[in-house]
Amino acid sequence: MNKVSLRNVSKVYNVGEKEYRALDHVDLDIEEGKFVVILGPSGAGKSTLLNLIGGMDTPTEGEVIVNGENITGYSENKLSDFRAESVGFIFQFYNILPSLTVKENVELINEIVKNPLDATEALEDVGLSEHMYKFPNQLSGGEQQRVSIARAIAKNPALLLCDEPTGALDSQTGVMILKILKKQTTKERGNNTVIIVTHNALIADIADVVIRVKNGKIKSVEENEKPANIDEVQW
Amino acid sequence: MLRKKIFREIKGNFGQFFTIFAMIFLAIMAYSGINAFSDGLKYSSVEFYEENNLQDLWLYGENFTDDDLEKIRALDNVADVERYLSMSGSVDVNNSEGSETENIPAELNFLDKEDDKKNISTLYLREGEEYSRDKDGVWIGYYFAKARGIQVGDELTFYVEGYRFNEVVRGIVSTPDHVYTVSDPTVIFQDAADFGWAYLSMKEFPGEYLYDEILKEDDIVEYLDSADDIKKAVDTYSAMGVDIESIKKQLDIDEDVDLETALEKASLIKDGRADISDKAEFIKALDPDFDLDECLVYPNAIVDVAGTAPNPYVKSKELDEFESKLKSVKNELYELEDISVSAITGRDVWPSYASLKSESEEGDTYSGMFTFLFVFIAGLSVVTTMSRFVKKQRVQIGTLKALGFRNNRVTIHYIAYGFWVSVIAAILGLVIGGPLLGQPFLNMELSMFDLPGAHRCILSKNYILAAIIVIVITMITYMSIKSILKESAAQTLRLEVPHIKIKAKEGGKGISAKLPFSVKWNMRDILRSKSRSIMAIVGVMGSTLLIVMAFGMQDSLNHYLEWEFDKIQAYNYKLTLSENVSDDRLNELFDTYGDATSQTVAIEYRDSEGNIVTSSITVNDSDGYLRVSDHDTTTYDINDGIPDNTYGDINKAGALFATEKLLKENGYSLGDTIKWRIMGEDDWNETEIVAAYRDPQSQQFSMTRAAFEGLGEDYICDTIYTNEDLSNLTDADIDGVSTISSIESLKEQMNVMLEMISSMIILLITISAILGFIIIYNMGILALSEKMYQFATLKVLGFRFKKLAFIYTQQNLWLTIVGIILGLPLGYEFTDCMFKYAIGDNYDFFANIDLSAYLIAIIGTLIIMFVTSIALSRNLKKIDMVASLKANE
Repeated sequence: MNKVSLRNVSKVYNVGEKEYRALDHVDLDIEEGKFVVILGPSGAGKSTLLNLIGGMDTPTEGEVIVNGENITGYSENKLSDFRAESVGFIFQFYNILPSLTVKENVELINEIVKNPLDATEALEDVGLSEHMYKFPNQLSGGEQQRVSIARAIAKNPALLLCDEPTGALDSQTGVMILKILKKQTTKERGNNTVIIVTHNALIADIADVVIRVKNGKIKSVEENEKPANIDEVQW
Repeated sequence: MLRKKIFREIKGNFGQFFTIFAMIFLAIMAYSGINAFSDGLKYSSVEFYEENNLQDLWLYGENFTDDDLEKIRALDNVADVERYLSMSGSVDVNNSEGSETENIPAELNFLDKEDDKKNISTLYLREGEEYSRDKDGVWIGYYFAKARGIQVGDELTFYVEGYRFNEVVRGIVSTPDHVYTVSDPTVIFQDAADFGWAYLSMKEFPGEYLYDEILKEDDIVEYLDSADDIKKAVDTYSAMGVDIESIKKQLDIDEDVDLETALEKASLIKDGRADISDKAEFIKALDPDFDLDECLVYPNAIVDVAGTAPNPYVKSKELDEFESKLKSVKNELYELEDISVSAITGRDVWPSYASLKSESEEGDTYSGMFTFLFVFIAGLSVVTTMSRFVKKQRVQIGTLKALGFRNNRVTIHYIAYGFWVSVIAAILGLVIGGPLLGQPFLNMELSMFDLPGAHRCILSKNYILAAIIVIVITMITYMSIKSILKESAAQTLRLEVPHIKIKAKEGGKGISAKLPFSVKWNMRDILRSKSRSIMAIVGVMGSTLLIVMAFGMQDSLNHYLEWEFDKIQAYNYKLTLSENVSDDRLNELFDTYGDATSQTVAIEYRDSEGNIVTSSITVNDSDGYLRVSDHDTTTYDINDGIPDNTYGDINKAGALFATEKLLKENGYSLGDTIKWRIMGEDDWNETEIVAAYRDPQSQQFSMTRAAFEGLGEDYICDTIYTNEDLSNLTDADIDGVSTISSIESLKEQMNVMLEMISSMIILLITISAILGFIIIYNMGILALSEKMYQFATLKVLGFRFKKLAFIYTQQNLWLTIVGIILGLPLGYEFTDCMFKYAIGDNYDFFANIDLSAYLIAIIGTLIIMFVTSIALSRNLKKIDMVASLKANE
């Protein structure tokens, strides 16, 4: 079953009098429970693709279908609800709120989701139970990224979208993060779909599906028969 | 290249730079605008006084003779002296429609017939011909002529003490001692159309008035009484053939007397058929040496003290020296032998001079107070804005340093932002303030003051303040960048680590653990962004304060009107009596209008330092129509004293009531003894202050009639108070009454005066409110831009717009409430200060603000806050989540 489908999707930005086509008539299907890596050089359209799937942006033309629903025509509020209920986001620079403690950052989800995971459990899951009452600036980069992941998984989202989640981390911490993300696709975690946008081609080795993007077009979609074990990957 | 960067950055951050620009511009424009008019009034008046030689002293006596003038002129420090006769009269003029003739009170000044021109308080000719003793006709006041459409060449009919005479208008003039004229000192604001003044030679004085005065002399009256008997005797003797010279000898009549003419004219006079020439011939017949000129009296004189009076608005050694010179001239004048000087006053008590001085000094307090508010609020706001801007430029600063730009170059580049924005704002403020604010204010003042050549004036203090503001803003910019420049290029290129001093309780059991997310987040955000939060509070506080002031001033003025014109002056009509009303006529007036009366006595008293100060005592026998007020505005009949504020017997000889402000300013208190004397009398009284009362518009003394008469003085009332309906009567309708003033007309006069003050302040407060709005808006923009990425994160997480707007508005609401709580009492204090210091010395106002003013301030400020928050929170709807989060990276 397709978790995500894009049909003839284009995204055009107007920069001054010029048009910049970030995505150009893209068709794509992503199955449920897959660990997907989107690769491509800067400006290829990776992040745009992720933003459209996550309802953070709307396409200029075409349709975006998530969980069988066409989100293209959603209103602003419906898109907010969609993001709240169905999508977890993880960014390169964490985007956690500095005024809230680690636990409060995760509990934030209680404001918008009806049955979230318990914040303590989510934090235990990412190995941060000892730091629950610290503020973000008291944590390392890797720890902050784990807070961001805990916040995302606390929603129990069917779709986890990650934009360069290891980009600002050292390799050891990066591995830890990828392990946590990979775990979300397992059956015991609910068979969630994880989509990672990255420059780092090495991450492709652990993915179930590798999508290569160039100049706003999908160059290839490759199924990885035997994804590598994260610990085996040479960073 | 960096110059291009400045322009583009300013363009890119237009909102923030524009608010800095607007705040500096408004502050300097308001300051220079107010000063342009108040300094303009001051310096224009100083110039006019100097060019037209305003007198330094006014002398009052019975008659200043040629010899007196010579003696005065001979004094060391006297440059010149002139005498004249000033009389209250009236003039017939057309009404405003020009259809009917109205009789309007006028001050008529008859100049010494020997003087070819006026050298002191010279006549500034607006139209017509120069004054000369050889010209008949009248020179009339400019504002009165303008208001009544009087032209050069018109013939006007004047009245003095019931004597009518016609004069042709030769010139229309202004004079430095008639910049502002009122018909009597109790008039607060006089419409120029309702009171005229004129100069003319003594030669034009109505001779008939003089002859009638002579005819009242005892020996003449005696002669007239016996004229019939003399006539009979003359007829008898003539029949007997006795010649007239023998008859005169027989009747013991001086041989120079033209007896036949005298008897003939006496008969006409007694029958009331004599005209002026008959009277003249009669007097000439009795005394062939009679010279009418010798009967002319000059009870007024003006003195020009040697040297030019220094600018009174600038404290200087010269001013002190001149003051002591005036003092010594005054003393010498009092000591001159054979001259009866009943009183000497200086410029400070002359209504024209004092009103203009007080009015122009009011601007100092406005400008001081408003500039303080403007500069303080704007300055703090600029600090926040500039430091936020520089912080946002951190990586760019690091890049410039990494590229090899020296610290000096980077510093100059960044201070250029603050410098140029403030320089342009300051220059525009200075240039626009005068014409935009100063000129309308000046025009408003010139509707009251006849001040030829009045102009706006921008003194160096305005440039100094503008320079200080530019320097301060530049310094603020420098301080903002200084700490960043201390770091290495590499350090600067790294994002600044936020400092958090808040500690969360282990286990999450603190109070905050139970608070909703939005409360927790907003509380911590306020604590994390202290300077921005303080700024927001100060901005709201300023805005609330200004709204309280705007409405509070109106309330306070209304309370003042009620206090003065309903509580203190508790009558419907006041009749000002003419001079020399006979006792019979007075009794008739009492029978008709009641005998509630008062007498105003001009006095001199010694202040606690021994200086002689001019003032007045109201001897109050008004049966409670003219009341005295305690500190809290409750009023009493003077005969009841003032509960809790009366010390001793109020009816003992000379027992004085004094206003609280007068006591305070002169260092006296209840129970003290004051040395005073009635103007023109030599003997000093030393009497006790037995009660302190409060009067909002005149700081002076009062006394019961019993206390006054206890001194052996005659009580001669000059005013009658009544509640009779006199609405259909005019001044001329009641014989023996010079003016009928209704309490409503007095209120109206005061309203006109207060409207001018109100409109000035309301204009300033409007500017202040704009400033407050800009500050609140600026703070809102800052708060939003600082938190944009956090809002973007929340939006990505799925928070709806309404929830985001709620979180954003909640913080603004808290800060606004704190600002309001601080602003309300400060609004009261500032209003009180404004009344205490901006209004003239003679007033004793205080702020009296209704609850509605506070409610309007609260609601108004909340509306500004909500409008601003709603307008700004719209940006939350448009947040480009991707761009905001990337920007944070």
